[in-house]
Amino acid sequence: MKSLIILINKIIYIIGKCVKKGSSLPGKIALKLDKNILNKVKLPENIIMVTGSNGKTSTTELICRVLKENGYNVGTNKEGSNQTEGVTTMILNACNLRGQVKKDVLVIESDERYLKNTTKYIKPKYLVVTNLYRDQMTRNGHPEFIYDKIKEAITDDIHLILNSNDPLSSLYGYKRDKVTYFGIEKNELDTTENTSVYNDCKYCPNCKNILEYEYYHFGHIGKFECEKCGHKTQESDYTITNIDLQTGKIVINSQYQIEMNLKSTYNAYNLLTSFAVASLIGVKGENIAKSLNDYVLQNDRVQTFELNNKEGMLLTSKHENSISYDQSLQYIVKENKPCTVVIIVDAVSRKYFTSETSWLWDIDFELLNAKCVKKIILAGKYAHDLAIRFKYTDIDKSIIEKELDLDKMMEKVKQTSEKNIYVVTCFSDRMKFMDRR
Amino acid sequence: MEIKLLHLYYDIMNLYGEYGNIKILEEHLKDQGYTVIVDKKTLGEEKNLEEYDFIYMGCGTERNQMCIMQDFKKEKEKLSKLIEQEKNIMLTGNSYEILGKKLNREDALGIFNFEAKNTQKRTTEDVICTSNLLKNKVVGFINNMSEITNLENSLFDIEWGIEDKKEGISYKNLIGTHIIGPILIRNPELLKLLINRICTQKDENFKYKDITYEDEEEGYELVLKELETRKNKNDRR
Repeated sequence: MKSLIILINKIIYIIGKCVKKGSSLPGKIALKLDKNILNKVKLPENIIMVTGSNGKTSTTELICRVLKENGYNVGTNKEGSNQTEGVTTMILNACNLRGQVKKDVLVIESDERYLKNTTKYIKPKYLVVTNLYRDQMTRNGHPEFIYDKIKEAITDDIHLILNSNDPLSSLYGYKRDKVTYFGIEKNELDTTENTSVYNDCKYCPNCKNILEYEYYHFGHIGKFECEKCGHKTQESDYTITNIDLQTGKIVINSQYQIEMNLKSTYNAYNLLTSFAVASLIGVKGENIAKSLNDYVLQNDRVQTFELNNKEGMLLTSKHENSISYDQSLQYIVKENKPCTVVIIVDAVSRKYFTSETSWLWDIDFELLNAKCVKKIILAGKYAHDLAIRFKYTDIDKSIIEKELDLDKMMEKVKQTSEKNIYVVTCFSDRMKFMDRR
Repeated sequence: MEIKLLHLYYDIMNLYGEYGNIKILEEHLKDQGYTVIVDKKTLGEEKNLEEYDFIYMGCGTERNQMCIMQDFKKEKEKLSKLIEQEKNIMLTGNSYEILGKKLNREDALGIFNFEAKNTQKRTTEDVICTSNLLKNKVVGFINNMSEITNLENSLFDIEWGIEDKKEGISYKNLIGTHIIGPILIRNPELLKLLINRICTQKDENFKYKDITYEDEEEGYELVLKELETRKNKNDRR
C-alpha cells in the first residue's frame, strides 16, 4: 500500500506539472489514502524547518543553496506549498518505492499558523523561526496569536534557531538547552526610537511591562531588555558584527565577509540565518560565505524591466504586511534616483477574497516624502483607500495621482517623465502590471 | 469652538490601524469649523475622561485586552456615570468587551450585563451590517476569537458574514462593535453620525456643513458592491 501511495503521488505530481497545477494536490490525495503515510517513510536525520512571518522563502532558498554547493543532496518544498499537503508531495516525491527518502537533508518552509499540522507527521531536528510581525492578519489574527500557534508545535527535542533581536519569537528560547540565536550588532543605521508607524513590542511580550530598547534596527527588531521580568536580547551565536548597506558587505562573527546582492538589513538577516543553519549542519564558515557571496535569489521578488526607455523595478511586497512594504519603500528612497512610484492594491490576496485594507495604516508611506520621489501613482480597486491613507501623510498632494483602471494606470506610467519607475505590489497583483507593459 | 478627542490606549490597542479613526474624525471636525485637540493616553496615566467630547479605543491582542481592563477598572464608576450622561464614546474590536460583567474568568467593568470569553476559534470575516441608527449598510471586517452571551442593546444586525445575528452595543451615545480597523473611514455615514452627535452636544444649533469626500464615498460604494456580490454567491472565506 505504501509503495502504491508513493507511486500515485509521483504520477499525480507529473500530471500536475504538465498542466501547471499546484503541488499540494498529490500530497492531499496521498494523505486521504493514508493519513499516516509520512510516519511510514524513512526520513533523513537532518530535517530543517523554517517558519515565521517574513523571510521564510528566501531563507529556505539560501540554506538549500549553501548545502547543495557543499555536496549535500537536498530536498525542499516549493514556494507556496508550505502546508502539510505540499510538504507531503515533496517528501513522497523524494522517496523510492520502498519508502526511503533519498536525500541527506530536507529543508522545509512551513506555514506558521499550521506548523503543528506538519510537525505532527514530520519532526524537524532544527526549527528556524525567522521573526514574528503583523502579517496577513485577515487570516493570522495577530502576531501573539501566531506565537501561541507555533508554540504548540515546539517540543523539547527540537533544536530552535531564533532571532535574538525579536522580543516576541526569541521568547521560545527561554530556559531551553537546544537553542541557537542569531542577531545583528549595533550599527550606524540604527535608531534609538522606534520609527515605524506602530510598535508591537513597546510592552514586553512576556510580562507587559515597558520594554527598554538600546537601539532599533527596524520595526520592533533591536536590542531590548525588560527590567521587570529580565527578558532581553540574548547573546547571539551567529552575529553580523559589521554591516554596510552602501557597499552591501556584511561580516559574520568578525570573520566571514559576504557581499549582498540585495542590499538590505532584511536580506542580511536571511543570509545570517542560513549561515547559522549551515554551520549547525556542519559546513565550514568560509565555505558558507563563499556559497552565499553575491548570490542572486531565484525567488524573483525583485524584477527589473524596461518601459519606454525607462528603467523599471518591480519590488514584490506582501499586501497585509507592513514590514514588507516598508522594506520596499526604504529601498526606493535609499536608491535616491528621480523616480515615479506605482503602488497597486487590486486584490488583497491571491488565495482568498477580502476587502480589508486596515493594514495600509500600518505602512510607513511617509518614507516616500523624499526629494527623489517625483510622482506617485496609486492604482487598483482599492486606490481610494490608498488615496485616503496618503492624505494623512505630509507628501505633497500634487505629485499623487489615483487610477482605479489598470489599463489607464499603465498609460499614466508610460507617460511619466521620470527615468526610473518603481512598482510596489503583491504577488496577487504584480502580473497585472507586468502583463500590461 | 474647541473639541477634545481622547484616543485611549493608543499604543497597546491599535492592532489594525485603528488610529485612522481618530485621524479622519479630527480632519472632518476641522472641516466643520472646529479647533480639534487630540490627546493620547495609555497604561498607568491619569485619564480625566470627563474633559473630553469624545473617547475612543481600538482593538488589541487578547493579552493586551486583559492588561487594559486591569488599568481601566479604576475608571469604572466615572465611566458608568459619563455613559449615563450621554458622553460620546466609541469602542471597536475587542475593546468593548471590557464593559460587560465578565471577561474570560475575570470580573470586567460591569457596566453592561453581557459576558465575553475567548474561545479556541478565531473568526476572520468581512461583514455587512445594518443599524437602525443609519440609512446605509455598514461594511467592515471582524477578527476575533471571543464569544458574547447575554447581549442587549445591540448596535448591528448582521446581514452577511458571520453566524451571529446581532453584534455590538449601542446605548445612549456609546457605540461598541467587533468591527476592527478604521471603520469610520470605511463608513462615511457612521462618521457623519458621530460628528453630528459630538457637535450638537457642543452647540445645539449645529448644522452639518455638507462636504463631499469623494474617496471615502466611492470607496464605500465599491466595497459594499464587492461584498454584496460575494453575499449573493454566498462566498465566505
